Amino acid sequence: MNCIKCYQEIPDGSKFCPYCGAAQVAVPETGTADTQAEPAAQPNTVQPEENVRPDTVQPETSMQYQDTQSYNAGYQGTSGYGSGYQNDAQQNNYQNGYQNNYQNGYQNNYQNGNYQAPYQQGQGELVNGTPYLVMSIVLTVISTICCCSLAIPFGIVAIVYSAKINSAVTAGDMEAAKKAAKMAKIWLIVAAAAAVVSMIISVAVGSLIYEGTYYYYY
Amino acid sequence: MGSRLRESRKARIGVAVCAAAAVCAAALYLYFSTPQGVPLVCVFNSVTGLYCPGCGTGRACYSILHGRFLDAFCYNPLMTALLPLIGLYIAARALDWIITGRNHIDKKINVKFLTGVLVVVLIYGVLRNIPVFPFTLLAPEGFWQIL
Repeated sequence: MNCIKCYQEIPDGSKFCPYCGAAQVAVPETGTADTQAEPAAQPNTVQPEENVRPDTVQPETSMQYQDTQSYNAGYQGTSGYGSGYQNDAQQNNYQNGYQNNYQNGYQNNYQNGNYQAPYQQGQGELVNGTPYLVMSIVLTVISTICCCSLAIPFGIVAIVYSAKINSAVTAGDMEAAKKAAKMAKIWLIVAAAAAVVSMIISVAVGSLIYEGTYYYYY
Repeated sequence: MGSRLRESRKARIGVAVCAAAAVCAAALYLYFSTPQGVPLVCVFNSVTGLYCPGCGTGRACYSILHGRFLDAFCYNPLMTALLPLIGLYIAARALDWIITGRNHIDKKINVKFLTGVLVVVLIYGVLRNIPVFPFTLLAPEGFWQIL
């Protein structure tokens, strides 16, 4: 699919564009649970523990998600599903352990598809405000074609980290995205410095050693 | 320094003028150097003996500065083909940065297209080292075989 604002190619099912941050219209395949979850994803919603969570859930599973807002969003979205499932489970006399595992798995999946909460946390400082990916590729192409080899490895490292930013943002993991953005910035600067250094080396070597000879391989 | 550049357009114009002066100085140096006189040496080529994707760029730019575009194409075909794009990109980025102090250009560039360009450049760097006829055309001065 493409972003409705900047028309960049973005992964199917994205709720926010990783390039410009614009909210995407809910896509059909993510279902109605997502759209219902959106108002519930506000920071100050009622804690869902008492009314939704089955008694059978063990303490450590609740600890796992309580520190993130995405937990609230994800959990509220699944409330209908969770209670429905609980009924099923009780009817079928499933083991408690099985129920816990199943709910955890569902929440994890849901979080991966839900980009609402991370963006609320990161508002005002969108990690991908700087298009590192484009910058690093352009730098690598230009240094490949002009400044020779010294900057290429660093440029490719920068490309890898910039690609990591995008995948982390679309997965909703803002911490990883910020880390990757930091590394991308560092390697971009290193690559640019290496390009300048290799320019200087080629001029210096050329004028010092090969003066008067017929070497002009640049 | 960084915040001043972000706020003051005059500071940005000053930086841009300095950069343009440096580019002009480099162009003048290249114009008056002769390929046989004060050469630029590719580090990669002098260490490994192979052609990198940029080999021939110096001579190509020299030829372009002297108005000989066919020679430039012979020295480094891909770079000569990409040069208008690179020039357009740098000019757009510079103008955007001078006027707004921000970067609006990169977000509008298709990442797939750019990745394609990078892959083509790297493949080109491999192909021009193959010493068999159709590929030797890509090496510096290669097109002189048929032109």
